Amino acid sequence: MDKSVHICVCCGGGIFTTTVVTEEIENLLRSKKIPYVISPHTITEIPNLTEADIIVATGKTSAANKNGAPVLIGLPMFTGVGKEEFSDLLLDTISKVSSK
Amino acid sequence: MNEPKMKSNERLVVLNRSFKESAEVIACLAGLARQEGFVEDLFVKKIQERELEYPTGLSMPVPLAIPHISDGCVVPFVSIATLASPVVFKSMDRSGGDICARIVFLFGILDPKSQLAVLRKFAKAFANGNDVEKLLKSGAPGALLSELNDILNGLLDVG
Repeated sequence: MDKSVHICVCCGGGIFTTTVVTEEIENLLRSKKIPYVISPHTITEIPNLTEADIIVATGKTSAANKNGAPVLIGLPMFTGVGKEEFSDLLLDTISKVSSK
Repeated sequence: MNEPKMKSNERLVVLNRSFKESAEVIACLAGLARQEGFVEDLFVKKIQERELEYPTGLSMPVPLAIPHISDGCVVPFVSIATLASPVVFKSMDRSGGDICARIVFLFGILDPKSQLAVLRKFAKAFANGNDVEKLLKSGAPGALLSELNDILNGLLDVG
C-alpha cells in the first residue's frame, strides 16, 4: 500500500471507548506494518467524515457515510470479546479499500 | 508530564444500594461528584441525556455500565455504585439489548489522551470477571477503592 489508510473511530462522546479502541487498532496496525492515520470522532459525525477510508463505531448506527466508507462495529476492541474476529475483519476491510 | 490523576474517594462510592432504574443510579453518582465540586450542574444534566442516546451498558463477565462525559467536568474522577439487585442499562452496541448491570462506574473525563493509561486499565479490569467480583465483595467503600487501585496499578488518586 502506498498510501496510509485513514480510520475514524467513533463513539457517543468521542472519549473513553474511542480512546481505548483507537489504541488497540494502532497496536494492531503497527504490528502488521500498515501505514495509518487514525482520529477520534463522535457517532453523529459519521455521515460527514469525508476523510475516512474506514469508520469504526462502538455501536450500531443507521447513519451512512456520504462517501460510502464502510462502518464497522469496534466494541470488541474495548470489551476484548470477539477481538480476534474484529481484527481479521478490519484487516480484510483495509485490504479491500486500499485495492480500490 | 504533570497530568491530573483520576480522582476518587470514599464519598464517591456507594455499596449494595437499591435503585429502581438506570437514571436513578446516574443521578446518584453524578450528584456525589457534584457535592465534591468535581463537576458543574451541566455535567449532571448532560450525562443523563448522553445515556439515552448513547447507552453505556457492557456485556462483560460481570455486566456493568460506564456512563461518562467530559461536558461540565472540572476534575477527572470516577464514582462507583455496587447494586443490591441488577439495574437495566441499554447496551453500548446500540443493539437495543438490555444489560442487567451489577456495578456502575461513572466517569468524568477531561482529556482522554492524558487519562489513557488508567482508562486502558479499567477496560482490562472490566474484561476480567474476577477483578470485578472482588469489588462486588468489598465490605466498605475504602476497601473497594484500595482493591480497585491495586487492579489499576495505583493510577487512581484516592486521597
